[in-house]
Parts: sequence; C-alpha cells; structure tokens
Amino acid sequence: MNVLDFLKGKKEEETVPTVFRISGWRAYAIQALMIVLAFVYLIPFYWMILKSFRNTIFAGFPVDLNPFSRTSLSYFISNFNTVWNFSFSAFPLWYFNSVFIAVCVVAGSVVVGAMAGYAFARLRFRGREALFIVVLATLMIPFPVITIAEYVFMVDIHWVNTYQSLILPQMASAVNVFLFRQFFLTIPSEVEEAAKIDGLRPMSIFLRISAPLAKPAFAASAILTFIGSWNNFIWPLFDVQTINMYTLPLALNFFKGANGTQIYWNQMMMATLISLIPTFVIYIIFERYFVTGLSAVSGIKG
Amino acid sequence: MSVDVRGLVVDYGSTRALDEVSFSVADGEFVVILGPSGCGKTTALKCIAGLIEPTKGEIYIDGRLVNGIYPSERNIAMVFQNYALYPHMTVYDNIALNMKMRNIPRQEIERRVREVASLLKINELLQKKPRQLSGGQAQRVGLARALVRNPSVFLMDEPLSNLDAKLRLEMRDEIKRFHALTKKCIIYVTHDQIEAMTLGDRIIVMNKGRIIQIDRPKDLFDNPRHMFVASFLGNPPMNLVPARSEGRAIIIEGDKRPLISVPDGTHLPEKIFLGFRPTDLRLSSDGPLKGKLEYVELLGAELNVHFLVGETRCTARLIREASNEHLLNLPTDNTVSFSVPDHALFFFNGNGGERLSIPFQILRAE
Repeated sequence: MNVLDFLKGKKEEETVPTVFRISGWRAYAIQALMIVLAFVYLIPFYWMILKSFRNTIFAGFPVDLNPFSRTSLSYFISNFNTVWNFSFSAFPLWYFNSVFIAVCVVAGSVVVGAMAGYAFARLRFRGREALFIVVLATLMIPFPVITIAEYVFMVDIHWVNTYQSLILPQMASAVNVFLFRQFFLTIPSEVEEAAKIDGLRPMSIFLRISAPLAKPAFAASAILTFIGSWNNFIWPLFDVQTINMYTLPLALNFFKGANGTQIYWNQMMMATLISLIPTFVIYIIFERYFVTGLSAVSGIKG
Repeated sequence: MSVDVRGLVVDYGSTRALDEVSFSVADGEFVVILGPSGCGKTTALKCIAGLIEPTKGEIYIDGRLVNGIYPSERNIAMVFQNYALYPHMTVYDNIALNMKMRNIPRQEIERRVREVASLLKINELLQKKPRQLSGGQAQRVGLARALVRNPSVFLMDEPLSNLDAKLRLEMRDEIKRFHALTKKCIIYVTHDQIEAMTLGDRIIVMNKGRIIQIDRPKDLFDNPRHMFVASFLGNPPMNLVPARSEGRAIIIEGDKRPLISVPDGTHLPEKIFLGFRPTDLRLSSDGPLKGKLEYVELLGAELNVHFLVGETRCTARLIREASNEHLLNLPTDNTVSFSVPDHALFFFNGNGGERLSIPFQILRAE
C-alpha cells in the first residue's frame, strides 16, 4: 500500500496485488537464482560469525564450519574481551563516538531534509525549481571530489578533529531533501487547504498535518542516513587526528595491526560483528516503514 | 451573510484562469457554479476561500473586504471533492481541530462536535479514522467539519464527484436538507448539470475563465443566452446545426433548400447555428426538418432517434407510441422528418455563440 492509497482511505486488503504471475519452469529458475544470490549475500556474514568464534588470526575458511563447537564459545568470549579492551579499552569510546555522531546526524538530517523537502514541495518562492535542481546536482558530485575542499574549510574554521566537523557536513543530505519532497508531493494539497481554513498557519500545517503523515518518509530517511553515517569512512579518515575521536570504521581499520602487516581476522570480525548490531536492530524496528517510505517515493506499490 | 465578487482576475503566468468574474450571492441563497473542467470554477471558489490570492478584483463577505485575509478568518467553511480529511486524526479530531485552534474550552468543543455529529448521523463514527469510512460517510464528516464552524458561507467543491451514482443521489438530497437546515449561503461548484439544476437557486455557467450566464435553473434551460449554455444543459444536449444566411433565408449547411425565412431588414450574421432540444422534436411526415436516419435506441418508454441533418448528428427523443414504433425497424439512411414548434427553435451567432433574437418563419417542406 502506498501513501496515496492510505490518504484516500483505501483499506489494505482492497489493494490489488500487482505482482506478475510467473509459473512453470520459470518460477523454479527464478527461485533457484534467488537461493544462489541469498548464499552469495549470506556467506560473508557466515564467515564473519565463524571467524569471531575462532582463535586463528588468519583469513580463509576454517576446517570446522560449525561456529558453535565445544571450544568456540570460549574463543568467542576471549575475542570479545580482546576487542572491547583493545588499546586501553578505547573500543567503548569509539562505539560511543559512532553512536553519538550517527544519532546527531540522523536527527539533524531528517529535520533539515523534511523541512527543505516540504518547502520544495509546497511553498511558493522565486527560484524554487532552480534551487531544487542545484540541490539534486550535488548528488552527482562524488564525495572524494570535495573531500579536500571540505577539509581545508574545516582547517580554516578550526573544526578539524571535533564532533561538529564529523556531524554538521553530513546533516545536509540531498537524498533526504529529495525523498521528503517526493513524499510531500503525494499528500493531496486539499488536506493542507482544509487545515488553512481550520486556522493552521504554515508552520503548524507542517508540524501537525504534513509531518505526522510523513512517518514512512521519516523512517526511510532515518535508516538510510544512519547506515550512511555508521559506515562513513573517508571523511573521518581525513578529519580525525587523535585516537579518542575514532569512529568504528576507522577502529576496524586499526585491527590490521599496529604496523599494518598483520591482520587479526578473528578480532577484526568480532569487532565488525559488534559494530553491526545497531544497524541490524534499527532495520528490524523500522523495516515496515522503510519499505512503505521508499515505495511511496518511487511510486511503486509495496 | 452574503458574498460579493467584483472583477476577479487570476493569472497563472501567461494563462488567464479567471477573467473579470463578478457575481453576488444573497443571504441564504444556494448558488451553483457550473462548467466543464478547467473553466475556472474551482479557482473562483478558492479565491473566495482565500486559498488563491487573485491577481485583481475584490471579494466581500458580509460586506467586509476579505482580500489578503487568512482563510480561517474569512468566516467560511469548505467541503472538498476528495473529502480532505486529516488521515492521521479520528473523525472527532477532524471535526474539532478548528475549535482547538481557537482555544475553545474542551467541554464546549465536545458538546458542539456531538451536536453536529447527531445532526449528520455520524455519532458512531467519531472514534474512527478516515480510512475506515466509506465515501458517503467521509463526505458527511466533511460536511460536519464545515457545519461545526458555523460560518457565513459554505463553499463546496464538487463534493459528490467521488461517490458512486446511488450514493450521489442520496447525498444530493442530504445537501438539499443541509441547506434547508442551515439557511446559510452555499456556493457549490460542479460540472454535473443535474446536480446544478436540482440544487441551485441560481446557476452561474462558466467557460474558459468567464461567466457566460447567471440565471435560475428554469430560465437557464428555457432561455439560454449563449450556445455554450444551450449545449451544456440538457440530456441529451441541444442539437446545434450549422447554417448560413442568404438574403432573407437561413439554409442548413450541406442543404440547398432554405429552412427559415426572416422579414426584410433583419440583420443576420453570415454563419448561424440552429438549436433545438431533442425533446421538442415531433415525428411528422411533412415536417420541415429532414434528416438521414442513423440508428434508433430503445430506452423503454422512450426512443432516441439519431439522424444526420446535413453533416451534423442530431438526436430526437420521442415518447414511444404506436405512431413511431415503425422507426425501430426502419433501415439506416431512410429519410425521417420532424417538426419543431417555433418557440423551441433557437438561433446563435456562428461567430461568438451569443443568442440571436430574430423574428422568423419556418418554411414548410414541399
């Protein structure tokens, strides 16, 4: 069900499924392909879990493919302890850094995205279309192209190696602006006109009518932004100068060993496993909204 | 409690959506704005509501100039085609929102919501969300939301268009009762002529951003002052046959024989449209209006006879009787003749479409 059906008051069961009916050998072929693809996607995860239950530091598949053998739990605990207490117990701090930055980025980016998206969708002002094209155009510039310029700018304003330099630049997300704009366009303008007649001013219309209707868009953009911030590697690599400001992607890099020659795969996989937990939890919580949000924006029925 | 619209102009870039629109609605009057889609009727309504700021012109509600005043302060209420209920709020909150915005005490809000709800028979829906309502129920909630404000003017933008035929009929009666109950002025926009004819005290017919005619439904039907009005009202619509004038005679296009003669000195434009309603035609073997039969539709007690006059498709609606039963078996391309009473014949200027009032005489067929 997409947002338009929702707004029109269509009930869930009334929506006609638009799935193509595939039958016979084609159905089997597609299922076989999906099983193979699922394996391709799942094998790295399996390998990661397997490795975090081992004491071997080398890459490559162990002989025993069952992660839960008799001795493996003790290895798992010892790997966890090693990682958690790594570099004088810095890991919890790095974890905090990543969570703090991600939460701030998500909060800021969703608010900015929603308000800018709403303005582009509903408010009338001179140069609106041109400005929107400029915002979209920023999507086409790969981040590495502007990294140096952004870094020099941070040096100039003395923000290098601070939380604000890790948070603020990520708040301006053209993807979120676009996502919210598309979502707000699907809300019939009559609903907002009715609100105007009921005495709501533009800001209250946004807060009391449009934003509550945009829950799926909030969920979708929050998840996308969280994943983006959580996995961000290049910008912290430039910006962060001291170990206490590390985020998890930088920290994982740290497990390559102090001199960079030896990679402790079991510890690195344990660290990766721990760092994946928040992404996993958030996706599970918001999964339903996530699909609605993206399908409403793309116009494809979910 | 009146509305006065003077010289309203709305431009969207280079397109003119409303062109010098002026009309007034008296206290307690039900006025329908009728026209095809894109004729500017909704734009006019939204200007009155304050949702669109006109490029030029003035709007007075209860004698007060309301240009530039925020919609909620114009003392109006609006009912929308797609109901425009707030999907995330219950029916109760939908109705109560505007009172909450005006900081009316909670008990008073509750009392008024319940009062309006029982009036419109939606008491049991108050705790439901809009998506749990049927179309008819949703529109009733829309009416309740408008009614609870106790406005001077109700603005209704095609409120029945999203309903199915049966429900539309029911809701039409309901709106009629609603008007009798409130005795407030209602401006109602529709493209449905039946709605307009049955509901309106007066109808404003619009086309291409202009008002074509304002009249009572009966006068609009009996005395259309423009070809557009004639063709828009009536089902089947009025037959309009292109003709030309030659001296004192009017000749149907594609025909050689003059059909109508006018007295000496009558000024006639070169191109003329002859208009006659399908219901005014009578089958008559020596009738002056001759055409080639296309096909006949049996509607039960009535017949729709479709025939070509010159190259123009015309329709006659006849009451089915023994004398015209044979039409059902008549092969295509046979000639059929009809008579039309003088008072049922209209003339319109071929350039512009305004009605021509001319003395005339129908020439009998040889």
